[in-house]
Amino acid sequence: MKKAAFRPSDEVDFLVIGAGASGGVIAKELATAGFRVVVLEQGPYLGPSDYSHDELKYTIMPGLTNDPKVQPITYRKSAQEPAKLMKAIEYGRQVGGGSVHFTANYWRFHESDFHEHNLFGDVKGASLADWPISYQNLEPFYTKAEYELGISGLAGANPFEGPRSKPYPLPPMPVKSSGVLFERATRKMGLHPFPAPLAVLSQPYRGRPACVHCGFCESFGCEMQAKSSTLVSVIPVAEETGRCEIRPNSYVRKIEVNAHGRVTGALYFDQSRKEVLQRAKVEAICTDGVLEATNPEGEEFGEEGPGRDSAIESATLGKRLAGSRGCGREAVRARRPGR
Amino acid sequence: MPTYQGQSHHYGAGLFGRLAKWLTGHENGGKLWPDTKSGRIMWLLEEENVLLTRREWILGSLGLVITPHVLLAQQYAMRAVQAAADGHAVAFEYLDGGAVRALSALAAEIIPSDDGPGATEAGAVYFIDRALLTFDADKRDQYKEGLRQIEALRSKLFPGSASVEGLTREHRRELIRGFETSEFFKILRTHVVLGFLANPEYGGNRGEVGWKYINFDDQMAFEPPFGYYDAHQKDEAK
Repeated sequence: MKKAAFRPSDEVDFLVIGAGASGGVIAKELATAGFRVVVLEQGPYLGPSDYSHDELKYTIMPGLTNDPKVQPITYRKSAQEPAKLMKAIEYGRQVGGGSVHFTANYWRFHESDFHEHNLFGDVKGASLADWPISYQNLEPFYTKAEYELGISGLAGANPFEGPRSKPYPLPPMPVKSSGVLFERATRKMGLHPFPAPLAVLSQPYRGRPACVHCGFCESFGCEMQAKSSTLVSVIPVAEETGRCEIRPNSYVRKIEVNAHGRVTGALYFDQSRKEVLQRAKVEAICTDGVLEATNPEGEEFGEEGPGRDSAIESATLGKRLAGSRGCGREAVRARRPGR
Repeated sequence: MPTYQGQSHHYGAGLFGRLAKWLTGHENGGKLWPDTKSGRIMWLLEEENVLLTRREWILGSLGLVITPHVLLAQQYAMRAVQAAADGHAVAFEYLDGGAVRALSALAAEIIPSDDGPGATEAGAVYFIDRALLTFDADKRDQYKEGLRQIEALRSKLFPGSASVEGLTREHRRELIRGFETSEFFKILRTHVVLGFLANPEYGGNRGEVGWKYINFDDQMAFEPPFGYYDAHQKDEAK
């Protein structure tokens, strides 16, 4: 099917900002449900043939991530304060986002993660909170994601995991020599080693080949398409509907709202640094939580803009997830028009 | 057809040529072009006028259904090409002769060639030259200032000496101890290590000497068992 191409003046049903771990999934869900979708991505649209085992490019230089020399990250508490340069936070900057270069650990949250405040109460210096949803609410979606992306693992091997409705779609990756020693040592210590769930194909799956064990996962894009990034799993499905346009090299600078505070579109810089306004009915912000909270203009997200609360929620969740280096740091939620 | 400066090699009859024929279906195999401008190895398929890099060549002929065996064979062939091309001379484009000689002498102390190849064999200073032309161009001033201070320190520590490269190895080490806490030394050390271990496309790690020295296996594909313990797990369980 012909790929969708919308004009900026077309009022699309959904505008998704960021084509990463969450943006790719949202785009696929919306497009397959019949909506017209534009996904704006600040980075380029690369493919498996663009990637390599070049450690200098991808681990020393920001081959697949933001370049702080080009895009410094600054912070200020109010619009009056001068912006201060911050240590740059690394995020995936390309179609597929961080799911392209991540280590591919793919965990579910524990049941207890959803009600930590209930478990631990007020902890000084922390901001523990109970989620309005539980593990049981999310379980069907964890399963759906594992099947749509392609996750390898051994169901039931993790004694701390919540109940699951289905096993993993793929058997676990083989245990390597170091893993055998690790397993022995930790078992002796009374721990419970098990093969980690990975977003890497242990067997061919949905038209993609199995992993060839090159060892270049973290920081690298997968030449084999065996790492289950959104780039090679759900984004192609979204594009095949003919209703979803992935627009790379598009750096969103501002969410446009009308006099009633309702979202009307997003202003972005295109590849030639020209400002473009893409019109849309609804927008889904799927960027790194840190980016939302430190938006350069403050007025859209930072202070009293339409997304303040969710930006904070997103930044909190982002930090929570960053520790696990797992599931994509973005918070996933659709922005209600004119909340 | 694009013209490339560089020696061409025909691999029509050997293992590589047979593999190339098998993989590409091209009777003539093709030609290898070490492109001195980009420093990349280009594989020229004569009949289609297509230039492929090493990686594209490895991956380009793959459909979705591939096996590690095919990949391993391709890598073996490509390694042969790489080895043949490694001899080509590269000129310095940023550093001048004095800087090259001083940096070479210092690099040879940072990674010496005592028990195997070192910074000299790897061509680490070529790597530095490329780095200062490209991704680390913003470090040029630090190099200029760093080298100036090293020369000053040399004159102070060893009056009567004429150059860093003219010092004995012992004196060179003493010189390094005199500036090893400086910011410039950190940059230089990082560059020398990168020039020893980074992808040869960047000008260093010539003939993959750095990778060979640390036993890094530049393979695209591996098959289980990966090592001793996973190979012997079942035997030991008996």
